[in-house]
Amino acid sequence: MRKLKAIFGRTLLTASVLLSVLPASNLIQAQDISYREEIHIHHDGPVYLTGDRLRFSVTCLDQSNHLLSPLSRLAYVELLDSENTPLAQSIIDLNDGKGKGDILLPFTATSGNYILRAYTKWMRNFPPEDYAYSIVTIINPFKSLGLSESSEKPATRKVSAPTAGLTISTASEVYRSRQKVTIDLGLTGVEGRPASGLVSVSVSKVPDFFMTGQGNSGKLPVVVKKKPSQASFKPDRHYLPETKGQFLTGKVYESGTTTPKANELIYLSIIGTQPEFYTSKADSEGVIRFEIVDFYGQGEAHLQSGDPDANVDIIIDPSFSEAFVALEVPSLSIDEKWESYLTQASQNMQVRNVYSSIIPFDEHQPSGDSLPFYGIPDQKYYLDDYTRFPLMEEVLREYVAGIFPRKRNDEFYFKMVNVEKNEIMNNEPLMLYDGFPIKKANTIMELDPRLVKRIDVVTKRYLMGGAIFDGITSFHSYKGDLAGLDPALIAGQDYSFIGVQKGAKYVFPDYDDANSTSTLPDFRNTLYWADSKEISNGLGVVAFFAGDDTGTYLIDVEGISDSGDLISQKKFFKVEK
Amino acid sequence: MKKAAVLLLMIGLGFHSRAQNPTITATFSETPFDQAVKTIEDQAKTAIFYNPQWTDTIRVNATLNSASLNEALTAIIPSTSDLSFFINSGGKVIISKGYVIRESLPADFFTREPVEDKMEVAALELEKTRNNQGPVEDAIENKTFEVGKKTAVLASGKATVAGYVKSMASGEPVIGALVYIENPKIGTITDQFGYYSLTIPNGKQLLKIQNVGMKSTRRQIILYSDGLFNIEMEEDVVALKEVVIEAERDVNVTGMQMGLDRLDIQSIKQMPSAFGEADIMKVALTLPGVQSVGEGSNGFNVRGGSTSQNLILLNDAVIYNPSHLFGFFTAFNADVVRNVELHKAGIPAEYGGRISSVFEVDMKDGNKKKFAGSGGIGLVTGRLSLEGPIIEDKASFLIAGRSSYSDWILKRLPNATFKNSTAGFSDLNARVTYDIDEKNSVYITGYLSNDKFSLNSDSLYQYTNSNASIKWKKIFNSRLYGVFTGVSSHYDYSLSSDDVPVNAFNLGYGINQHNFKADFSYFPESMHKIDFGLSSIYYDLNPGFNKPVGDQSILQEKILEKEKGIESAIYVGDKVDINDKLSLYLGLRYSMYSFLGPKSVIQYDPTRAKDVNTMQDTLQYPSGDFIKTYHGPEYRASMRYAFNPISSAKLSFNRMRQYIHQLSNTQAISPTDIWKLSDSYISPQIGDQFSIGYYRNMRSNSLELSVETYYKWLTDMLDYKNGAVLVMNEHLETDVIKAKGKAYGLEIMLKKKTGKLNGWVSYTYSRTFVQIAGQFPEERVNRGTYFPASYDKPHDLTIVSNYKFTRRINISVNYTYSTGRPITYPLSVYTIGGANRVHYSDRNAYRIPDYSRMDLSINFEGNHKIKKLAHSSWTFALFNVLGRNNVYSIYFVTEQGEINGYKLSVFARPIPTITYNFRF
Repeated sequence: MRKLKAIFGRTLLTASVLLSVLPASNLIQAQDISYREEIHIHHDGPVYLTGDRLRFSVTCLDQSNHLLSPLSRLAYVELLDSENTPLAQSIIDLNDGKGKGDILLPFTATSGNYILRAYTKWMRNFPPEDYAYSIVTIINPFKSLGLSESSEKPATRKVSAPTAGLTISTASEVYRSRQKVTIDLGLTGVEGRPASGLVSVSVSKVPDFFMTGQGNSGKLPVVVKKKPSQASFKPDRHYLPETKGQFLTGKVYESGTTTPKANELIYLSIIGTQPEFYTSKADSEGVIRFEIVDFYGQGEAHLQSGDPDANVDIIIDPSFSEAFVALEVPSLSIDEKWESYLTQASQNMQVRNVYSSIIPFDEHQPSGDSLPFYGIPDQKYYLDDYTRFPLMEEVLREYVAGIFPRKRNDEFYFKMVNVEKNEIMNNEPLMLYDGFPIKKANTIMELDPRLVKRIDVVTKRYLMGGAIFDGITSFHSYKGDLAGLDPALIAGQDYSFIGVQKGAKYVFPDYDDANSTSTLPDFRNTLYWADSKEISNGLGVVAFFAGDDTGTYLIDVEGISDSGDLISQKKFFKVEK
Repeated sequence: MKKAAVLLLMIGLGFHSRAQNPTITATFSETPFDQAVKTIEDQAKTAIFYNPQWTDTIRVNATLNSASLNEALTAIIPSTSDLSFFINSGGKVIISKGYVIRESLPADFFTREPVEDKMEVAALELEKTRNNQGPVEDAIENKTFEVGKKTAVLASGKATVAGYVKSMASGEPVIGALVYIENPKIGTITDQFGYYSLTIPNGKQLLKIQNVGMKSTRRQIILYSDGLFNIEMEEDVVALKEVVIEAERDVNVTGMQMGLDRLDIQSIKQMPSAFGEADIMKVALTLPGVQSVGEGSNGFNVRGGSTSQNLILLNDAVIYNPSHLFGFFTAFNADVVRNVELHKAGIPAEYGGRISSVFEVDMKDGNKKKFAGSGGIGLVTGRLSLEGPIIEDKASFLIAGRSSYSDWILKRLPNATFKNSTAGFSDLNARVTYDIDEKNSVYITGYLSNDKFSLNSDSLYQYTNSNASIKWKKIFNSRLYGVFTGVSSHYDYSLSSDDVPVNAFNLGYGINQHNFKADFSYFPESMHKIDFGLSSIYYDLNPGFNKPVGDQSILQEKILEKEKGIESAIYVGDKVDINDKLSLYLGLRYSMYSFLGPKSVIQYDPTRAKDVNTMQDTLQYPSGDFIKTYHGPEYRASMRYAFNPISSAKLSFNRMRQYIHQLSNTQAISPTDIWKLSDSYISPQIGDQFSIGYYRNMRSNSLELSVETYYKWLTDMLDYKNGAVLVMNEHLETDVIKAKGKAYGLEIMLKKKTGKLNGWVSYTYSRTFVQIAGQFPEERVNRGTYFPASYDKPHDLTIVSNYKFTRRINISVNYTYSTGRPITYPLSVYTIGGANRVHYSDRNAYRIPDYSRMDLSINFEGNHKIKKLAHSSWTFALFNVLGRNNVYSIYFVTEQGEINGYKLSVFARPIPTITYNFRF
C-alpha cells in the first residue's frame, strides 16, 4: 500500500488554486479576506499522565469584535512535541464558535512539555501566530523522565488583569471522599453589574505544594507567544472557510509524471461501518475537491479513478497546518518534590484504565446510525434475518430483490430494475462494499456472505458529482473492515483519513443516592469538567462529587463574557478521607 | 510464578508499612466473595474496591486468625484467577484483573544521569488491558476441556474418549458424523444414537467433527484417562452450486458396509408421489436391487427375495404390514422419521429373522430445546406432529398423527359405487426420550395404525398394526455400552360382512410378538469394534377365526388353534481396520427356534404327498412342549479394500434364517395375507448371499459410482400347490410345497449428491428363479425345472433427478422402466367329458408388458426469513406424467363361454396432487 503521506511533498504544485474558482454560494465571499478569527483553547488540567484523557474546549471569536465566530464549523487541534511532530491530531465541530474534544494520551509517549494548538481552516490564510497555543505537561510514569542537570527555570505567566470580575466560591475548603461539592461562579461586568458569559470549568488534582505556593518551582510553564510578525505572510494556498464540512482537496496527475490530468472522475471512499462515498470530477487543472459532511471518527480512505483502466496518481493536500511558530517550550521542570503526587497519580491512572470499560466517566458515546449518502435505500436486507447461504450468488438470487446477477462469458454482471419505471436499467449499478467501489460483480460474488451484515439496494438512477449510476448496491460487513475482500483489490491510493471527533458526553458519578454502595473504585484525576458552562446574570452553579482519592484540587475556570472579555479564575480545595 | 512473586512482594510491603493495623479474624466456608469482602472491610476499617462481575462466581473458603489485611486478601482471592490487589497510600484496597498495578515509579524516574531509553512493559500491558476490555468472544472452539480423571502427571499411552454428537438446535443426535484427530490419523463415525468412541493418545488433542449439513467444528481436549465428552454441532446450509468438499470423508468408498442404502429424509420429501405424501417405501423402490410387482403395492422385493423376506423395523418393532390404503401410502409418517437404512447385503450379525433384507426406520427424538410442530394437508391426507422438551436438554416428547379423509371424498363422487365405498386409515406415533444422566438414556415409543375399507358396501376389511418399545441405553464406560430393548408388536386383520344376514360373518387373523434383546458395543481400541448380544422372540399367533355376526347368521363358529414359538439368538461381530486399506468384519449369529405346544399335529403317510387323504393320526402336544426345534449358525463376513482414497472394492457373505413365513395369494402384501410359524413340516427358510462390489468417487466426491453383483441361494421357501386354500386352513402343510430359489444380478448406480442438479441413475440386471421339485409329482411345478419367480424383472432402470432453480423452487423428475413380470397364460381350451377345460402354459412362462412411468413434482418453499409464524411450502405433483396404461396384471374371465383376457391398470392417466406443508 502506498501511503499518500509519502508524497505530500508535491503539494506545492497545487498552490496556484485561485479564489476565483470558488463557488459564489460560500458564506464568506472571496473579497471578505479581511475577516479574521481568533481562537482560544482550555484544557482540563495542568499535568497529565500517559493513559489519561486530555479534555479541551475551544472558543473561536471574530477578531474584530470578540464575539463568537459563526464562520468556521470545524477546528483543528494538535498536540505537538518540541520538534512540531504531532503526538495527536483531531478535528472538532464548532457550533457558533464553541467546540470540545479530547485526546487519549498514548501510553508510550515520552514525558515532556507539549504544545496544544488550535486553528480553523480559514485561519490558515493568515500567519500561524493567530493560532491558540497552550503548554501541556505529560508524564509517562513507566519511564525515566530524562531530566537534565541544567533544568531551566520555567517562564511564568504574565498576569493580565481580568477586565471582568470572576469569582469562585465553595461552601467548604475541605471535603470528604464521595462528598458533593457545589461551586458558585460569580461574574461581574462593567461597574460591578452582574454579567453573563460562557466558561469552561475544570477541577483536577494538583500537587499539595501548588496550594501552599512555596516558591516558584511548583508552577507550570505557560506559552510565551510572540506577536504576529508584521512581515507579509504568504499562505501556501488559499483556503476556503469550512462552513459545512471538511474540504478535502487534491490533484490528479498522469501516473508517474507531474502532468495534471483533467476531467478525471475520482471516487473517494471512507471505509467503515458508516461508509462514505464521494465523487469529484477534476477540473482543467486536475484539481479535485470533496466536501465531507458529518463524518465522525477515523477511517481508512481510498481514492481511485472511476475508470478501471485509468493510470493516475492522486495527491491529497494535508489536512493539518504545516505552518509553525518558533515557540520557547521550556524543558520539564519536574523534580523529586513531585514523587508522592506522581506515584499516586500513576496508581490512579492504572486503576482507571483497568476499570475503563466498567466505569464510563471518560467514555465517548457510541455514535448513532446516520443515513448513508443515498438516503433510505429502496431495499435493505440484514442477512442475519434470513437463512444463511454459503454463496453470495444464492443470497442475491434467493431473496434480494432488485439485483439481477447475470453471466456473460463466465463473468457475472449486475443489472438492476428501476422499480418506478419498471424497466431494466442499461448500465451496471454502483457496487460498494463498506463504501469501497467494486468494479466487477465477480468480486461481490466471491465474497463470503457470512461476513456480510447488510445489503442496501437503490433501484433508481443516481446522479452524483458528475457521475451517473444505474442503481446502487451497497454491501456492509460487520466491522466495516472490508472483511473477505481480496487485498489485491484494495491496493491503490489510500490513507488514514481523520474525520471529525464525535463529541464525548462526560458522565460523572452520582453518590447522592444513599443506597449507592458501589464497590467500584473512583480515582478520577479530574473530578469535574464542563466545556461550556453558562453564567447568566452573574451566577453559575456546578456540582459534582469527590472521588475516593484524597489531596489538593484546583478549580480552573476560563471563558469569555458576553461583552467579549476573556475571563479566568482559579481556586483550591482539599479532599480528605 | 511471576504473579506469585508480585503477591509475595505485596505481602512483604504490607508488613512493613502497616504492621500495627487492625487484624482480621474470620472463617469463610463457601462464602460469596462480596460477603467475605464486607467482613474484611468492617474489621480492617477500610474500603475494598472491585468489580462484582469479576468475582460473582467466587466462593471463599478460608480461616483467618488475626490476619493482616494483606494476608486476608491473599486468602480470599483465588490464586488461579488473574485477579491481583494493591493497597494505596490511603489504605484503600483496589482489586485489578488481568493487570498488576505498579505501585511505584521506576527506580531511575528522577535520575539526572543519562539512562537507557527504555520503558517498563507495564505501559504496553496496560494498553492491552484497556483495549481488550468489553465482551470477549467466548468461542467454544477456543476453550480447552478436560476429559477423564485429572491427574498431576499425564499418563503415557492411550485412553478412550466417548460421547454423543448432538444438534445444537434440537438436541437430536447427529448420526454418521465423523469424529477424528489428525495426528496420528484416528477417526470414527457416530452410530444411530449419535454416539462415538475414540481411543487416542493421552494429552492435548484436537478433536475434529464433520457431518454433511452441519458446520464442521473442533474441540480442544486434554485427555487424562477414559472419559465422556459430548459435542454439539451447528446446522449449516450447503451450497447449491458445486463446491469442493474439503477433507470430506466418503462412506461410499471408505465405509465398511456394502449393500447399505441410507436414505436422508430430505431426498425422500422431494420425491414426487401419487398422493403428495412423502413415501419412504417408494423412495426405497428407486434404489438398485429393490423392486415391486406393481404400483399401489407397498411390499418390495430385494435382490430376488419375496416381500415377506424383509425385516421391516420401526424403532426395533416388526411391522407386518407396512402399507396403508391398498399400498398407496406407507405406514411411516415421514415427518417423524430420522433415518432409514436398507441392508441388502453384508447384513451385520445383530440382525436376523428374515433372509433378504433389513429395512430399518428410526423415529426422531423430540426437540429438547424448544416446542415445535409441523404438518401438512394434501388431497387425501392430513398430518400434524408436535414436539418439545419435557425437561429442557434432558427429556422430550414427540407425537404425530395422520389421517386420511378419503371417505369424505368418496362420498362426494357422483359414481354410486364410490358413494357406497369407504376407505381410510389413520396412524399415530409417539416417542419420549429421556437422558437420565450422562450415562443412561431411555427411549419409549409407540405406534398405532388402523386401516378400514369397504368397496361398494360389500365386506369391510380392517387391519391394525400396533407396537410399543422401550429402550434403555447404558454407557458402562467409554469403551463399552449396552442397549436393552423390550418390544411388543401386534398385527391383526378382519373381514366382516352383514349384507346377507344369514351369512353375516367376521373372519380374522392376528399375530403377537414379544421380544427382548440386549446389544453391546465394545471398543477395545481405535479401529476395532466388537458388537455382541442376545435376543429372544416369543410368537403368539391366532391363525384364524370365523364367527357369525348377529342373531340371524347361521354360520358355524370356527377358531383355529393358536400357534406359538420362540426364537432366540446370540451373536458376536468384530470389525477391525487392519490398516488404511483393509477392513474386515466377521460375525456369527446362532439362532434357535422351537415350535411350542399346546398344539395338535396331524401325522401323514410318509410315503405319499401330504393331503387330506394321507392323514393318519393327530398327536396332541401339551402346553410348553417343544414340538419341533430348528437351529443353526448364520455366518456374516465383509471385507473392504481401498485401492486409494477414491476407490475401493468390497465383498461380503451372509447367511440368514427365517422361521416365520408369509402365505399369500397375491404377489404384493395384502391385508388377508397370513403368517405361519415353522412347525413339524415347515422348516425354516435359509438364504445365502455372496456379493462383491466396486466403488469409486469422482469429481471431488460429488459423484459416486457403485457397481455390485450378487448371487443368492434360497432354500425351503414356501410355495403353494395349485388351488391351495390359505384362509382358515387347519392343515396348511397339505397346500404348500417347498421351493428352492436362486437369484443373481448386477446393480450399477451413479449418484450425484451435491449441486443444483442431484439425484441418481441406477440400472439393475437381475434374475430370480424358483425350482419346485418335490418328492411327489403333485409337488412339482414345470416338471421340477427352474422357472422365473413371479417378481423376476430382469431389466430395471431408474432415474431420480432433482433440480434446484433456487432454494425456494425445485423440480423433481423421476423415471422408471422395468421388464414386465412373469405370468401364466391360458393357452387353449379343450373338452373332456363334455366339460371345457383350460390348458395353461408353464407357470410364469409369459410376461405382462414392460412398465414405464415418469413422475414430476415442483416444490415451492416460503421466503427465507428466519423469524416468522410458520414456515410453509407447497408441492405440486403429477404422477404418471406420460399417462401410460401400465399393466398391473392380466386376468381372464369366461364370458358367454369365451375366455376373455383383460389388462388391469392402476393409474391409467396422470394424477395431479397438491400438498401444503408447514412447520413452526
